[in-house]
Amino acid sequence: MPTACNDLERTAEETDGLDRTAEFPLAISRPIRLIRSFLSLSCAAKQQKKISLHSLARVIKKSRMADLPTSPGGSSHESGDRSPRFSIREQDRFLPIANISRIMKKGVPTNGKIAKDAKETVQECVSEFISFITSEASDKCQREKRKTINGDDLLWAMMTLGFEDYIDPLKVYLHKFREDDTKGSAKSGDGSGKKDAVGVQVDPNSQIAYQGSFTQGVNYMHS
Amino acid sequence: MRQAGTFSGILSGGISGRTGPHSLPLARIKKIMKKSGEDVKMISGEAPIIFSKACELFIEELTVRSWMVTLRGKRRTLHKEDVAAAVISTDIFDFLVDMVSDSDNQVQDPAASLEDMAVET
Repeated sequence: MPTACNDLERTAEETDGLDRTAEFPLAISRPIRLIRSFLSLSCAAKQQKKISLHSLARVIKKSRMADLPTSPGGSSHESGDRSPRFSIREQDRFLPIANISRIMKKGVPTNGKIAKDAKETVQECVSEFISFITSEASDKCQREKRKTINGDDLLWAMMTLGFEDYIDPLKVYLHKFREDDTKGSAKSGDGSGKKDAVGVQVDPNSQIAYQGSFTQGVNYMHS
Repeated sequence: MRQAGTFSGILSGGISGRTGPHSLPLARIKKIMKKSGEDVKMISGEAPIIFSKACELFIEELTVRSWMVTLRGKRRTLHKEDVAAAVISTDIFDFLVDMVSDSDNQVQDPAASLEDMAVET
């Protein structure tokens, strides 16, 4: 099994319980699902000659989450969930396709088109992205014996998992949002819970820097 | 719902008809977060807000990379196979490999570009 030493070294400390030499623990529960996932991953690894340990850990974790349909196949997505076992509705598993489509169009020139199957694939990928980041953040909270996943945990998870490019725009966005929010808009009433004071640390000094980077941030959002 | 603030027009990209500044629904994001693990119980109010932006960045990146595959194949329509090829060729999208290779015939063309991008084994 070809593995990149860099990836292993970078992630070995966080993914305790996994052998450094990437001997795959096939003997754990849900073997069929695991083997299937493993095969597709190793297929990719063959092409890339490497594989991230985080992705592997994710596959193993998913295989343990027996009752949660975290990995919808393409066909099950299109036809909806008929199986009564999976009672979670499609609208609870995915973000609205209209929103996804709108954001995707920003990345494609006006003369380009996006097929429906591509939108649906991206829709699934986004849910997977949320789960991927959330599980990593949740693991961190458990290690630190905290109960609430906060903004910092998510940013840390994104950093760890290779999405460090997102951090700066996210901080700008969050700061902008907070500033906006304290200007008197009502508290969110959509049941998304109470607002935590904890979150990304934006120290007062960065306010000045922030003013400078504001236009940049907005441009980023529109890009 | 969150009331539109002074700058919400900027943040929402000027699309009318939405009540909040976020381009993705926070309640839905929260639901998806909650079912990503049994130990995910409490989520700070900020977390879905971060995700609403993070998902936007993620979708844009995935789309742009997929579109490059489309162009390489001299096509004008972005297909599922292009997304798959983009995922396979991008390190940070490793965790999606399982997702895009689930479908039975994704190696078939029009993604002839899959071979272009694959590192020789």
